[in-house]
Amino acid sequence: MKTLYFDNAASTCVAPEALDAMLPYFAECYANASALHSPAQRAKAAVEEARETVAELIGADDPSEIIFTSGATEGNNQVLNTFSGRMLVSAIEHPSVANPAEESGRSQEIRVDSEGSLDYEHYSGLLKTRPELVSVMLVNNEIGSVQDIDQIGTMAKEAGALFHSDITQGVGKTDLGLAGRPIDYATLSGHKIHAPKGIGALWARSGAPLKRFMVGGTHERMRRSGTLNVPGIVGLGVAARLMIDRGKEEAARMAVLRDRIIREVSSNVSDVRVNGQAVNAPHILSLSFYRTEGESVIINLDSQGICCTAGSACSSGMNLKSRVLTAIGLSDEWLRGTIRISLSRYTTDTEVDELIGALTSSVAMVRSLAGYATG
Amino acid sequence: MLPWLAERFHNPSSLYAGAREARMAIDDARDTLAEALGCLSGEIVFTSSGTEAANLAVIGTALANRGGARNRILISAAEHHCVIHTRPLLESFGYRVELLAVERDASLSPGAVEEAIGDDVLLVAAMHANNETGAISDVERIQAIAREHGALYFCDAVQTFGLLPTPPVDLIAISAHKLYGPKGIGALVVRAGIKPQPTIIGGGQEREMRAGTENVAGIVGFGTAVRLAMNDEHRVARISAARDRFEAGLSSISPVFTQCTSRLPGHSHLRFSGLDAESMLINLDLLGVDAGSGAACSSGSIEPSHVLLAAGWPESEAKEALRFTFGKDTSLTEAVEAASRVAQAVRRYSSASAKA
Ligand SMILES: Cc1ncc(COP(=O)(O)O)c(C=O)c1O
Ligand SMILES: Cc1ncc(COP(=O)(O)O)c(C=O)c1O
Repeated sequence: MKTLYFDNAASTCVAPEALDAMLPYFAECYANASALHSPAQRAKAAVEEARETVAELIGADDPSEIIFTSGATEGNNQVLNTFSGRMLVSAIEHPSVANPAEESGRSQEIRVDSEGSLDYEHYSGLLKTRPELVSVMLVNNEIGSVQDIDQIGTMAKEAGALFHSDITQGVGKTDLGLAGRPIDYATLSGHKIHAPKGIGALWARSGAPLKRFMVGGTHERMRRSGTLNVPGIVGLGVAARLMIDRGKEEAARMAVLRDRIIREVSSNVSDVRVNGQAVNAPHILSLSFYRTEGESVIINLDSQGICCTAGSACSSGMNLKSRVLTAIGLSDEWLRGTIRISLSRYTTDTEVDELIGALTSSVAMVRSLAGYATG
Repeated sequence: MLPWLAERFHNPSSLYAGAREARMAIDDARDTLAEALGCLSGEIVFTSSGTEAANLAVIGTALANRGGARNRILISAAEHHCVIHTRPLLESFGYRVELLAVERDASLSPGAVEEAIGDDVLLVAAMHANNETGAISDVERIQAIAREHGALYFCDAVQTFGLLPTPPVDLIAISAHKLYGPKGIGALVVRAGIKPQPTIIGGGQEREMRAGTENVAGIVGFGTAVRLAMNDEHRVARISAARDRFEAGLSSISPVFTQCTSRLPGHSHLRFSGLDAESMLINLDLLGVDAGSGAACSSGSIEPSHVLLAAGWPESEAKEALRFTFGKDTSLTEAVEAASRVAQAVRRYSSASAKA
């Protein structure tokens, strides 16, 4: 049975181009990029090329502002740990922002509205507390809502705060041009853009403070120690190049697929709502089926080889109520029936057809077993 | 690793079949490591490197016990930078950090620990084998001394894991790329009952000890590398045979070998009197021999190795130190050839400096 993969917000496959480029750095060119000999210099050159490509992808002025990390979780922790004063984070951040913020005991949450957009009135009130850092993600990983980082960043600057955005789910889909925007830090993860797991990047605008997080060597200009993950970095560079070349076009195609899923599922199934904004991220679709056990739908889809998720991957299996869905004010009857479908460049029209059919029948089946009555 | 990068790329935290397979692959690798290390699978925390593992052990232990009665931390002066450089941070938490003097071969004598330890010591950090000289310390004895005084012991076993049995100590850092696994993956062994405060949080992975989507392919590569090491009974003998052949081949050009009481099978640490290591390395590179001076991560900076200075070497000698490290696939022929190219480099360099 072929699997149909609709969980690209949890992880994406490595692009074949990226994988091919990585292989030599596992095999014949395995040298430590910090050593002096020629093989090491070749590894080092490959790392620097990837750094330039990642800088180009996000529109950073200077590649030296890019630090390679093990993923967005690490990058987010590093940015938040840099600050010892007050912080503001949105109520729908990924746990890798939300948890360090909460642990610090110096952070407050900015509310979002029912579409998952930042509540600007609440935000501007909180800015009066003189925070040092504001952290708001570009695209939410559960519902795909997109934030206006220009507006948020401008307000942060006016209040004298620095601004960080976790761009993990948004990078590659639009022109970011971060250098020209009111933003100081951005974090991303390879495995969400067809690079491998275990590699990510942190952008810190020159001049923005950054506390050393991992110590023990002069790597990454003293900002992140540890032997460089050369194949991972090379994979991230190639994945970034593919996004620069094709990302926007692919995003437009995904938006069409997403809209078709919404249209057809809504016409096949009653009592369904679409979470997020009217104009959402193209690749993330959050659907709630009223009074329907989402987990059962997921299991039923899995038995047909279809992968999607009830909450986000890191809270799956933990049976925690999604913070994001709670923050947008979903009542329990909707929340429990929420399913996330996420697309990638490799998602085909036929796969979408199959998904629509399977989702329609799974929801119907789960509802009928539970004695669900519409209307 | 390849399938876990290509078609089996699922996030192990998801629920569907493919994701569960990724979770099982991680668990298999964890079991393999546990078998090799003689610990429980649940005691292994995967990290992104040996550096991160060591940071987690030292910084995490310090954070978890901040403000307690034990306010001293003992660190061997020859530790890798990933331990040494935690010092300012530890001090900022209010700890008194003492660097323990090491022997001339950079090993730490248990006597030095005995002298410094007390009931106010929280943690002792001393590596199993030094990455520059290859000298091995008696870490079982060090663990015993620490335990007698109720202190925790952290052992950086990055250089020995896969070559020597790893002693059962409280906290152990290892790194895959030193034993033919990939870069970007490491692990910390945290014995049951010990609880460092995690430094990367938010996602709950690795039993809340290390957040972040697991590097599945890297972990699988690590597990396989460990399995290969366990099954290769003659690895150590092969590596040391190559190293010994290399050293024998140098006899005509009078190297000064660093005398170690006990050393790693693949390490040859030496200097040529009057010949600067940087220039030697450049000459060697031109001859196709890739070697090192200090640790790779401080190459590029021309400061003499902190390890050798800590071991009491004069700066002039420390700047001459060369490190040749041999691997499981280094053949005897290569070892002989390497020795003859080193001799060639020494002759070139000596005659060049004679002319100057
Ligand atoms: C928005 C967002 N931030 C951070 C992360 C964590 O990144 P990583 O998987 O690299 O740890 C994820 C996904 O897991 C995410 O979706
Ligand atoms: C003794 C020792 N500890 C720690 C490390 C760091 O490990 P990693 O390269 O995985 O960060 C190294 C090697 O670089 C090492 O030799």
